[in-house]
Amino acid sequence: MTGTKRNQITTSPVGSPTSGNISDSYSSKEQDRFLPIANVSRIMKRALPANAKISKEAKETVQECVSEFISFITGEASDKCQREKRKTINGDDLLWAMTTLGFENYVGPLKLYLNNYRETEGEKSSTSMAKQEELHSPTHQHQTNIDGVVEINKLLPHSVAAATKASDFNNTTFSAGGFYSVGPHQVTAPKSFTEMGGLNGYRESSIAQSALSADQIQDASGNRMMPPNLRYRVEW
Amino acid sequence: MDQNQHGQPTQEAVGKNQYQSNPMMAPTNPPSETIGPYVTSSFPREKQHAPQDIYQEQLNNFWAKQCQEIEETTDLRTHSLPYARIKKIMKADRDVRMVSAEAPVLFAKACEMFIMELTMKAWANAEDHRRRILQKSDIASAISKTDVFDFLEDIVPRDVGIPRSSIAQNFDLSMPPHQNVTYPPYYVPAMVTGRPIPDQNHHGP
Repeated sequence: MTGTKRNQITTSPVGSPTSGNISDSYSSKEQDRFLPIANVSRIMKRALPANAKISKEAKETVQECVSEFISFITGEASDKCQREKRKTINGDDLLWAMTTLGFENYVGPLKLYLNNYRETEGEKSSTSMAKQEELHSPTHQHQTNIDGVVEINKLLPHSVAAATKASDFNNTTFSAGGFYSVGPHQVTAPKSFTEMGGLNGYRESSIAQSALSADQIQDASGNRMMPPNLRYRVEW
Repeated sequence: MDQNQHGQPTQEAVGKNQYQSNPMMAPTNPPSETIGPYVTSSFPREKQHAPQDIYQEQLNNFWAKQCQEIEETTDLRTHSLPYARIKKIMKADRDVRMVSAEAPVLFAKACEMFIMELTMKAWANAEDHRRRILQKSDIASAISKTDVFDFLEDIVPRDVGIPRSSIAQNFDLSMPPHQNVTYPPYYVPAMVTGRPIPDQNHHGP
């Protein structure tokens, strides 16, 4: 009986082959496919009591689950963008996808978070955490003026911020951001009136949400979100 | 897919500062408490409802706390996941062309909440089995009990639902509570001895 039990355990028909295959295929690309396990582990611990421990296998499983979560939401948001013939996935697309896929609970906190981010974006760089920490108290007025002058980039304010602070970025981040940010606008500009109308409606929704927080947010969002259209242009 | 938590949970501002262990013999909850979708009535053994009610309450508190936490945060230093890696995962899909700068920022926060929700539900399972070490099987159990996590079923293929839970229960009964639980074989053995199964897991710090 003892021998039989050991055999059953060691030759499990379900677990071993699958685990081996998964391990082999994932290990070589782990750095690219998953978020760092240390970060994941730290967040897991915040959700548990102090005396709880987490097995390494549990951490690795959650690591895989998070990547799957990102791909799941991104896929749905991407499909929506394609239907609407847009090329760039933005925050609102992700919020819509989460609602569609059953993560309504996440949308409330994330809207607050997104508004908070868009508010601080007017004062800090949007593409660098180090940058955010470095610039402790930038002036909003300065940013507004720069944004106002460069009208062609109103739809993509973060590229303006990136350009004006080029000397403070590492080259990789700046060039990557610039490359991807400038393209969409050029393509979007000659779009049909219907497309522009849809875009307006979308942005108005964002502006309305921002208006609930503060005047500053409203001004900042209004200025950035409005497409180059006479009806909505705001003169500074 | 229905979710218990709809709209703004800010009206339930009262909550615990941190997640706390709860005894199995919990005080009675108000009868109006709604049991969440993670309760599976089809399990053969009758589960105690009190712990589930407590976890549902903790989950509600979690969402309320999230809104409160975000409102109180004036900078983005609370982010704890690298944007570049998130963007890389997003762009692994060939259909995804361009990603705005705010998308990885939003995902960083979303993933934080996702990890914490999944971990809390997994911990509920560990506590049900009187363990203090979170196992992969706890993650699998949380996934199988939550409809919204259906897309994760493939990641933990060894979770077979009801039979698995029954098997796990049998083995738990034969082992001291402080021992780690290894994954039982697919088939229930003819006789369960009192000896613990050798521990094959390697637990991190």
